[in-house]
Amino acid sequence: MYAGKMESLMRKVLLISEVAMLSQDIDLGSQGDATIPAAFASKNNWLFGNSTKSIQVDEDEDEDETDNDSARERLESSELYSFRKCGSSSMEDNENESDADTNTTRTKKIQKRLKWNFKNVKETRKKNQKNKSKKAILLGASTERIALINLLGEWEEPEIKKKFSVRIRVLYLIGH
Amino acid sequence: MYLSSHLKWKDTSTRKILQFREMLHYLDGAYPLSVPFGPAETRKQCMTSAQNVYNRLMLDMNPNATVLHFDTLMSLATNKDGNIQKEKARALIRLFRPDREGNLTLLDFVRSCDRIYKRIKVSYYVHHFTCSTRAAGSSMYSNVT
Repeated sequence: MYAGKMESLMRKVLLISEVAMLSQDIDLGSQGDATIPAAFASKNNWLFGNSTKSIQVDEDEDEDETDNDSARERLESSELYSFRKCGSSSMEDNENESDADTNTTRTKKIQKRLKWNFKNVKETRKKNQKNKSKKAILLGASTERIALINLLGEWEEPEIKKKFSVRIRVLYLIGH
Repeated sequence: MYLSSHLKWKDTSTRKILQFREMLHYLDGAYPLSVPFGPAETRKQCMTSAQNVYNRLMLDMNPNATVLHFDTLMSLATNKDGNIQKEKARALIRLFRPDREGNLTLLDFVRSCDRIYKRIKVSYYVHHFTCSTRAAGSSMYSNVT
């Protein structure tokens, strides 16, 4: 009788464990769609990334040859170089023109900095909002858990320590 | 013939006792409802891990769905051929008790897990109680003799 009850209990335990395993599989599947191929692509590049990578490498090699030539052009086009150039040219050319150039570069720089600052502020706001939403979700989950416990009602767990008290009672009864 | 059958019966009985003991040892651990389910040493832990399992199962549903449909659990009762194992399906339905429409709420899921947890704890306690009373009785008997 007792063994039969235990068998049925164990069957139920096995069913719950199967459900838990199924849930884990679902969870892994949902994660795997997004992360696993990305990890493969980033680490090994053996499945899909090989063809594209080889092409990219060839392009990079071609670029390396021209890098030395193009670097100067980039520097010349960049603002820092132009600023220095302007500074050096100011000695040779008219002073008014050079001042105008420096002013424009400075204004451009300030505008860029302002833009960058504004972007930073926006990003931090977004991050804060995300964190807040996460916190709200966590708090909601915890409250749900508390509510669940309340709904299911209290239940005093049987403690194994009680066996000693039972043993003393039995001994007392047998003794008398 | 009689002796062999007798021995066989004895052998099976000892094996069953060992199985029973092993089962109780398994149920006494921190993960009585298996490791993928999560820790269930206390009732609160059992509830939280049951909720986590439910949330993981909900990933299989549509993002707009609020309640788990029983079809996801019924995939456990299907063979490789696609046929449903009736006994297993019945056992699942008896265990979780979904609606007539096949919806299983979070509360029902956690309640069913909680019910099993209670039974485990009670059975373990009963086993210890019986062992302790037997031990007490035997010790008293030895003292009397």
